[in-house]
Amino acid sequence: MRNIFWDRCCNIIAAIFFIYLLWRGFYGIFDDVKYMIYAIFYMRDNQTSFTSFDFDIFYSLGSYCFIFGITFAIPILRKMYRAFPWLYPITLTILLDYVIIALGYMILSYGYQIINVSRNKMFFIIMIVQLVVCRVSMCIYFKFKPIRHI
Amino acid sequence: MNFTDVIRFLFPEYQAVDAIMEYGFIKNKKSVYNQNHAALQRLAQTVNNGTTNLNTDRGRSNTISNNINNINNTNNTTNDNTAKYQHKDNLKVNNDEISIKFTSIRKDLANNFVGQIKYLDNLCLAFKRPFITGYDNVKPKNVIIVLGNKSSGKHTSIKYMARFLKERKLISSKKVVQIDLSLYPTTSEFQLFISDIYKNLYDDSNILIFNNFHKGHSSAIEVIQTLVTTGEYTLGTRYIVENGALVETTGALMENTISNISTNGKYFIIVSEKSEKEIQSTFGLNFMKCVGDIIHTDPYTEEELGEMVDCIIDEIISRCNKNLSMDLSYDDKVTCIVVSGYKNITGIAGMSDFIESSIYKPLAQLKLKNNYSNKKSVIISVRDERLIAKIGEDSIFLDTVLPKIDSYGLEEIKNELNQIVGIESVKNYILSLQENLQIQKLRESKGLKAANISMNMIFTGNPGTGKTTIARIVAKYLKALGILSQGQLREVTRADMVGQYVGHTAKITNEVVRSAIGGVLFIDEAYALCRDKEDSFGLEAIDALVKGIEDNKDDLVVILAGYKEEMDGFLKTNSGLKSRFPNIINFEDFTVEEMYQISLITAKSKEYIIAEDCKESLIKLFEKKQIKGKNDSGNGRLVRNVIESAILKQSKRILNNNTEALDLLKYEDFEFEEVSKFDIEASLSKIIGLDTVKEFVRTQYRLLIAMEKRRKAGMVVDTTQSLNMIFSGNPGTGKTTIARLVASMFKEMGLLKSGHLVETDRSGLVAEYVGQTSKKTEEIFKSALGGILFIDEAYALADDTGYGKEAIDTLVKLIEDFRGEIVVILAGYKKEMSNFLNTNSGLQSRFPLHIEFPDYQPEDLYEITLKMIKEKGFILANNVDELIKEQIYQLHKQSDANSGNGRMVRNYLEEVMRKQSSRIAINDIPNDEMNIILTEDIVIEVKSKSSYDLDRELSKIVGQEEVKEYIKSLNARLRMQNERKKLGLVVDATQTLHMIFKGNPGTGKTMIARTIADVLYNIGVIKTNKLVETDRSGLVAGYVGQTAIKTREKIMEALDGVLFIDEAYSLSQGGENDFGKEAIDTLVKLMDDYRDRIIVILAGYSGDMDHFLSMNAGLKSRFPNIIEFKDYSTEQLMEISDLLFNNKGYELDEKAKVKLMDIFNQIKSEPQFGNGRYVRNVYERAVNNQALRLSSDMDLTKQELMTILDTDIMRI
Repeated sequence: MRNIFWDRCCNIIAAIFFIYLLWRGFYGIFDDVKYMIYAIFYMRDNQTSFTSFDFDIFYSLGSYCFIFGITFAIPILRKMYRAFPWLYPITLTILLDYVIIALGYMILSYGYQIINVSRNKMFFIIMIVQLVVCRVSMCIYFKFKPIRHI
Repeated sequence: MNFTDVIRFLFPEYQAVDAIMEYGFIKNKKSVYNQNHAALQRLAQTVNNGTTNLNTDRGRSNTISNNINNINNTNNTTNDNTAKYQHKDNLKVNNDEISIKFTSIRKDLANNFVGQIKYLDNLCLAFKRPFITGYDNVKPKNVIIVLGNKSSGKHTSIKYMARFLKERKLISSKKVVQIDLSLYPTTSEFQLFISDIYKNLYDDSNILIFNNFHKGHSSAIEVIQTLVTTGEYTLGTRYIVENGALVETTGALMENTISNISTNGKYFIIVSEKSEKEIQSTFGLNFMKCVGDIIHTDPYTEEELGEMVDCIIDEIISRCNKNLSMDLSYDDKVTCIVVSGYKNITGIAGMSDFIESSIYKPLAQLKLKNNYSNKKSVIISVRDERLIAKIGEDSIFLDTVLPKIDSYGLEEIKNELNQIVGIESVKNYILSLQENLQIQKLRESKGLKAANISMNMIFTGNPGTGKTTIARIVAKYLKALGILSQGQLREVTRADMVGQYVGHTAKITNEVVRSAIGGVLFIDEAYALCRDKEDSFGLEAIDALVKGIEDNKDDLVVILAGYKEEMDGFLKTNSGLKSRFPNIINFEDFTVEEMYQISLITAKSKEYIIAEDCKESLIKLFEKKQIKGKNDSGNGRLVRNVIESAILKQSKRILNNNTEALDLLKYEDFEFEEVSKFDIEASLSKIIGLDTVKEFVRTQYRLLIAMEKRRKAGMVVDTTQSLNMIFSGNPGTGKTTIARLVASMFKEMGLLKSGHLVETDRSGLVAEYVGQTSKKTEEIFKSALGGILFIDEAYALADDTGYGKEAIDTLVKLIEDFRGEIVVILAGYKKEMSNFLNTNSGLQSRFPLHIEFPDYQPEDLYEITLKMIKEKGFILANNVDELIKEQIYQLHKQSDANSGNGRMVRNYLEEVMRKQSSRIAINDIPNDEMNIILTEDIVIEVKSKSSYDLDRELSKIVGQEEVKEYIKSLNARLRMQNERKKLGLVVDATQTLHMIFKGNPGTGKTMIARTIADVLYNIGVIKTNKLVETDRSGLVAGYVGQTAIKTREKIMEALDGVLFIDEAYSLSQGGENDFGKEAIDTLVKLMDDYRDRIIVILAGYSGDMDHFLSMNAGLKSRFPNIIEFKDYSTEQLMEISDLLFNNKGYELDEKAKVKLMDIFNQIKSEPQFGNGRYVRNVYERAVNNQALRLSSDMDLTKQELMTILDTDIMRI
């Protein structure tokens, strides 16, 4: 009796977490990615750093990692990955994508801190190389270690 | 790689689509199969790299079906972490057949067992019980306790039972698993226990036996308890199964962890030799309620034993036939002799071993040595209670065939013990063990219970007293007596028992105990295991040891060895320790004769002979080294060392001279101290003066001579005397020197063994913390054993803190304990020492010899000086000795108690030497004159005082005619007294010279006091002319009890001089509780005590002083001389100022003089007028003003610099 009740409670908690926080997380990630891509192009076109826009990449990265991390760590939240088999691959890949693009963004904004055409170009190239390398590495990894259902 | 693969590769996100395809958007239960299928497919793909064949498909389908089962199980108990049991008992048992089956099992058992009818019946009932009463698969099927002697067939019967049950399909496996709880004696092994019990509970066996429950740790017992009472046990931590064993794990993400184990419906059997009560006390009542059956094995009758022996011998016969190709036969007597050797302790296994070792092994040995033909007939029979084998024509006693390895005979061990020199009490104790054992055996044979006596022992004694040797013999002896099964000696120390980290110690200690089972565990220097309660590792080792002793008390003897006192302390660290070691055996130090015997034996064992003439010297040598209470003499080890060093010297000797005997140790090989004839007078001639001391030493020497004569005459009289002494005298009177001399003389006389002097004082005996003092005192006392302990300033021990008293008490006890081994000398000032002796009543009686060291007379001092000069290699020039004599006499005259007597002379001489050296360094001196002391080198200590002119001194003081008059009269009176003394007339010595100076400030009181000090010194009333000036602050302290000390210090400082207390009235001006009163009381007391050595002058304002004297009744009578200092008149003040200015090189012009006089006239009427001091202040101001005035003038003449103008004079 107690177990059923407890299970129900856990399900409700997982559902609330899933609906509210996880979707907010996803929304936030997409929003940030969109923002970062915009910023990257802005920096390239205007030859200036985008740091003045008060965007703390570490804060965002940390908060997303935390949200997704606790869903992996807490058994009752882990239930949502069991219920939605597609959720785990999506979460994992998107989070990694986010990390890659955030890295790229950081590299570029570091490069555009100084107005110097050659430096800017160099960092732009570094960013592109980093994006490609990280993404390909991720692809290789998941090729050999497919994401299993929890 | 096609396009889809590329897309899949480039976009891992696509795997989400795969997941949807595989499990659906929301997972449902139906997909479980798919999930497994897909997973396995992936696995197969990975392993086989995509290729599959029919076999793998088949295998996979099997695995899948297994998986489905497992998954179903998992789903049923989603939140249960209990380990899964794979071997569930699914046997269907028809109840109707149970009785029939068990009846046949009973028959089968009877066929395989001899006797034990009742036991086997009960065993069958126990195993039958669950089939009748019903069982579930959670709790144990039945909990059975099987009790009985060692090797009485308990395990075998259970194994047979398992086999028969399996044969009748009542259980699924015939396997019987056992857990030996003695492997888990501490909490450190708990993990191992959990892993083992898991392994045994979850394998296919149905019967689980627990052995040695009494040796298991309580945590393991608790697990069994819980399993029996509830059927499962919840583990403290999570585990996973790896290679069949439990491995502790952490982490929330870990799946398939185990936190619960259950009994899985097995039979739990506890097999033990202990009693039912012990099981109950170990496991508790709840456990006992769950126990289904308690079965006891039956004792064997003679016939049964005979039958069993026959069985064993039959088995041996078949082995002989097969392996040795011998046709063995035996008669009934053989059976009888084996049966008679049956013991409850060893059981059937003991008989089997006996047959094996005394029949089969000797036969095998014979077969090995001799070329017997095949199928040789051998008949075993008994002759003279010994087994004999008749092989063909030969009759061979079988006990002679094999070399004896296991034990020495009892007689051999006794002989070995008797060969040991000395330690008779120890030997007697060990031999008495046998007597007790015989009685116990007698009791046993008459059906009474044999009382097992604890054999654990403590050996206390100094190193080298043979503790280890005796322990080794004890081990062998107990083995020979049959108390111990193995008889080995395991010798360990702290290092072998204490681990490096918490929890490690118990494990190591248990290992040590386990290795010693069957023998003797000998812990040398056992007290080091635990020095105090803070030593947690040591305590852990002791706890583990105590448990080990208790668990193995039947087959383990523990011997702790160490020094007596340390061991006493050690036994206190664990209250259970002492009760477990009832036999405390003290190994006394060897006597010198015993040591000599040992030296002969030691030499003999090395194949040497000691020459006869060495005997006396060796005995003397040992006697000197054997100091009671000193642990380092080494005893037996000392003998060995002496012999070994002699062997080394002998080798050297023989190298030089090859003709000498190779095995003879001669007198010269031993390093004996050459004892020359002791010449007492020559030794005493080194001491100058001190006739009392010399006489005392002579008396002692005479006593010794008398004793020697008596000894030669064959008469034994004990004339040993307490030689403890008290030396009282002032510093520098030669106390330490004499002590050193006495030490060496006593050594030469043979009264002391080593004759060294340990010099200490209060700080060497008293420690800073409570309880440490006695230790410190004991330490220093022991270091002085064999010599002299010289305690300087011993009276300081009688302080108020209590520590000093502790030191005295310890000292008194030690003196009593080590009488004859040490001489204690207390030294100090005479008066303090007599007070000190009164503080402890026991002290006076223990120091019967009081030697007073009088201050040296000038002649003695002169003699000492000459001796010192000679010793230092200097020579006195002609006439110089007279001068030196004069100076020494002068020094003596000026000296006081603290001057240091001999030390004073030494210091003086050193100064002379310094002067002489500087003369040599500066001047060109011929080589042969460099050690000559000339007249000019002599330091003229004090100028002759005969030139002292009182009138001249007094004339320096302006005014105060009355005072001057008094001093003059005093001078005259004292002179007259001296004259009278010289003529031998009666002199009033009681006259006190303490004075009171009354008068305003600046009236010259201090100055007069100084003059008085000079006068008294020159007349010879006091020894120095020092004036110690103080006031209230110099006498009164801030804390209770300090004032007396401070006042005393001040008075001591002023001793032999004058103490001048300014503003003395302030001592009585405080309230009721003012410390000033304490100062006055101390002052009054000490004034009386040192009546002849101090003059006290109290000074202060007239009114205040009158009041002061009225406050203390005793004070006024002690100060009969009251001198009033009047204020100076204007003329006198002018005179003083003239004197002051002129002395400093200034001149007053006329105007200035007039102005000064005016000022004096005006100021005189003021109440706070400072008299002479005011004049000084005016003078200083005037000089300042003059300097200021002249500072702007660049061209100064001498006259200008000298003259003080009226403008410079200023009223203050």
